[in-house]
Amino acid sequence: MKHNICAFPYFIIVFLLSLTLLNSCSILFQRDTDRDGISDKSDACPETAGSKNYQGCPDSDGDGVADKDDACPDAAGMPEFQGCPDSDGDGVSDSNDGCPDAAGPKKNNGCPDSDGDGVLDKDDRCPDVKGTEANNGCPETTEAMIIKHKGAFPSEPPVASDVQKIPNAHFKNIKTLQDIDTQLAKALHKNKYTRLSYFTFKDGFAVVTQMEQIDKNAKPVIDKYRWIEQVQYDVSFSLSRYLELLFNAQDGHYRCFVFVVSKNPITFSNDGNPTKIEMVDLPKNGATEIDPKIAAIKTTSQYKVTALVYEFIKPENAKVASFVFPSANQGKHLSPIINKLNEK
Amino acid sequence: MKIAFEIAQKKLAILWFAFAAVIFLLMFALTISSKLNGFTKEAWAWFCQVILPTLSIIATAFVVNSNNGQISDRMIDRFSFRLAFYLSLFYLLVILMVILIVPFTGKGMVEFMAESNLYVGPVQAILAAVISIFFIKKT
Repeated sequence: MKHNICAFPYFIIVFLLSLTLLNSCSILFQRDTDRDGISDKSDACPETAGSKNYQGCPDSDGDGVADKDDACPDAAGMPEFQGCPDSDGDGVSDSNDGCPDAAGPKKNNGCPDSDGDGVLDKDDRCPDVKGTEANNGCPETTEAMIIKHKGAFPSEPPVASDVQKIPNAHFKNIKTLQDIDTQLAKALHKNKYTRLSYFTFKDGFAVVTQMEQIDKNAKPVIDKYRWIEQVQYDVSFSLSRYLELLFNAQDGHYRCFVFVVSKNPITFSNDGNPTKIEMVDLPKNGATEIDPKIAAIKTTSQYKVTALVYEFIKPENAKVASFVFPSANQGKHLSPIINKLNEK
Repeated sequence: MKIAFEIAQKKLAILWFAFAAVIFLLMFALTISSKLNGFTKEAWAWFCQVILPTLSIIATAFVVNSNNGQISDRMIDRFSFRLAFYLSLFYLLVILMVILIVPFTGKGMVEFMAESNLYVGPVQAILAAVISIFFIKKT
């Protein structure tokens, strides 16, 4: 018995040690699937490694909002917007903001409406001028308005290489603008300008011809090359022609016409010279025929037909054509068209 | 079959200098005409690039060998000479054609010269190797 009494404290110690060991083992064997040091029981995101601050959940964008509560987990934002940013600081988070880069009121879904006409700037073709919804935020067209949109020729066109007026005497029996168009179009067709593009212009209209290739004397090149950019290089079996092509730079000359019919004088824009690409693209925005409302306008002697000539030159070794101002062939460009106008 | 190195070297040098002179004169004519307007540097850079490296090798070797008294005794394999000579002739004709054919291409002179580097470059590299062999192989 004496032996048993003396061993008792040892049993107590062994018992306590066993308890401690078991406790340690239980910690060791607690499940931690994402191995973030927080057991699955206490981990709000047991399958995704995270930090203790967010109960074991990650915060990928480091904005203080755990990914599980973050509506924009990849973009740092603010807690009041559920972790989403508000780039323009208008109080509408980017995720709900129709215009995340422009500050606007909540009632407009975060989009601005600078002129307050009820048409949001992003849909407003005239964001600084009040207009109607039907006219895309622009005011209803008046003669003096300058509105650059599809179908309207800039009221201040880019400066032209040559400007030539066509006297009204060349047009016969004109009563409406339609009559001017008919006779002008006929003369242009006879000169093989088959693709005409119509624009409204102030109180009249403008007709744009497609870009054509001309020679240095302003005469159209042969049809094969007239409507393409490729410079004419065909060598007829002639030594002189070959030597000419070999030793003379084969620059490309290009031109397009804009015939403006208006009773207002034309003033030119100061926005710099036009580029060939712009002028090639211009006809794409026009209509195939004159607007019937404009065609019906009765002409007076105040209506003038003015031809704006846009000429470009592409030096043989250059990659881009440049605008020619002024044209070396002032007054010569229109001769064939006027000749056809005068034909009966 | 062997050929005297001195004769072979002279033939090769004549070929190169004759063609180089013709191409140079052609380039000069193009320069004083309006053809290279604004792009003269690019055109002459092309000329230097395609002609000068090989011409320099030939000229240097010619001068070095001329100062060597024993050159008249040396012989060269006829095949090595023919290979260097005809490959040079082919290369120089290609260079000449690049200039003369431009009017038929519809492209700009400088643009066509720049494009020609694609096919002239590899031929030039092979030619440089063949000419180097020619000068080394003399016995």
